[in-house]
Amino acid sequence: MNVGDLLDARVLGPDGVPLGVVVDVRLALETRDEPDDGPGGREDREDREDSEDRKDSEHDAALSSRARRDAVGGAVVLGLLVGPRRAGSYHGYERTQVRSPWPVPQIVRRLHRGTYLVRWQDVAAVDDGAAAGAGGWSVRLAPGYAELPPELG
Amino acid sequence: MKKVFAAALGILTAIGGFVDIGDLVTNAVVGSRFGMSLVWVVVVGVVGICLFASMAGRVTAVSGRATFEIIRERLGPRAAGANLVASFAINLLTLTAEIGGIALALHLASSVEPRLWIPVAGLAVWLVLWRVKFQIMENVAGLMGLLLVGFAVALFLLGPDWGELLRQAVPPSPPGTEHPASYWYYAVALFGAAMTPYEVFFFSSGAVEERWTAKDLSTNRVNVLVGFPLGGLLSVAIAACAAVVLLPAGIEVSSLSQIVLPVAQAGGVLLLALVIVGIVAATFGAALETALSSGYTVAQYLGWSWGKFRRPARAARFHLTMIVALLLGVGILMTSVDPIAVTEMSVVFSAVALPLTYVPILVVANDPEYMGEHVNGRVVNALGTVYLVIVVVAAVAAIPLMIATGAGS
Repeated sequence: MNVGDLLDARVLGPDGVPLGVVVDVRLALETRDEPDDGPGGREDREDREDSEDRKDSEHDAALSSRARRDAVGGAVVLGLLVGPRRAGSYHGYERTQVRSPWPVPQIVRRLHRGTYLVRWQDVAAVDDGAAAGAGGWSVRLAPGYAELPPELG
Repeated sequence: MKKVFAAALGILTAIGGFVDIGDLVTNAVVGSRFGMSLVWVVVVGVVGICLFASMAGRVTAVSGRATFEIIRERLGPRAAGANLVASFAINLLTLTAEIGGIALALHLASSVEPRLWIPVAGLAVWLVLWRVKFQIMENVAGLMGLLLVGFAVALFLLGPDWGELLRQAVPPSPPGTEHPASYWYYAVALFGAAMTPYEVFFFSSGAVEERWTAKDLSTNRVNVLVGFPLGGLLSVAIAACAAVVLLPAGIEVSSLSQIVLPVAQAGGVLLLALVIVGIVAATFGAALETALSSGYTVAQYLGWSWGKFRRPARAARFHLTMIVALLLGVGILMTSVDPIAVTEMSVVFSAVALPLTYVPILVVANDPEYMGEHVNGRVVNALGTVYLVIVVVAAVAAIPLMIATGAGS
């Protein structure tokens, strides 16, 4: 299963009642002290001689140091955003209270009214829909699941 | 002293870089048919491009991400992919028009067939993209583009009835012979010409090329807020020249020689020569910018390494994209389509494509996760929302108006 398969999957209650669809998957990232350069990273840069190349790599380094705050490790699935209907992407407006530029956030939030967050621990089963008549991916929630507000704390 | 010089250079290149083949053709066509009655659109367009270019520059300087990286992040792969296809196609149309413009201007100067100049122009653009440093390229094209000030000189030499020009402009009073639908069609075209989306791709990616940080924001603001309005004045001068000479004579602009006719009439061969050099520089500069924009958009969407600050070998796919775009542009022109007609198409479709670029920029400029303390202020946001409405209305109206008026004819 790829995490992308969960997008647009049908969400069922513990008793099998349809609740809506998966709008987004909430992930948490571990932060690291050192940016992950990967192959072709720092070592690769050192054996350049040409002065123009050195300037290139300085610029590259400046860019990557600006991106340093984004240096991260593995991602962990925290939960699913469950919306009542398929309304496209939430464009990140579920995470914040940002209200400008009017009317973009207002329209997006209206389309997604009634969206809530369900913790990954509250997901009982994920079905890939391969069984006859299942019709695509679906997610079944565990009894006693909680509907959490989608904003970041 | 060095600082003053750098600021002056930035402003001057912004003036010279503002006018491209789209502005040149559309303003002359509009002036020859509607007099000064569409000048208000140039004003609206210039305020709009100031707003969005400075916003795009600020987003890039603060977040380190260029426009199409942001579009890819915010819209996701599918919607951003559709956006890329549309943006790339329209950018290609603009690039084609600019190369055609170079060829037409060289034809005027040399009386050699434009079709012989087209491959030469394409090759010259590629050589500059391959060899010349970003800043030199920008400054030379921008400074030489300043020669278009010859249109303003010509206007003064023509000694027009200024009161009459003003009466045509405020309140806008189109000639009674023209249909209102045509008037609004050209209003949308003129708006698209002033606010062409490539300027935003180019401006934001250029901020990465020139290594801007949050410290450079004030320079950015001055360049845009002083340079673009003065560039807009050049546009108005082009329209005014056409309104003074071509409108009373009943000449409808369909070639570059008609656009420069008022200049030749007022200033003779010398002024004409200077203006032709200005047109070559302006279209050449814009061809460089649109070719770069085609590389920027594709490379930023697909996550390739890009930029002229890297040697071509280290951004090979970026350079290859530009070569393909140039070949396509030259290929389209070699089918002997009329470059002026391509230009008119390109400005209208630019208007259609505007929301694709501007909405994501406006959204991200409001996102504290990207922008921190540099999010849009209230005034900028109020203007941003007004322009959001204008841009969407122009985009929606463009195609129906085009069909209803038979492309303005």
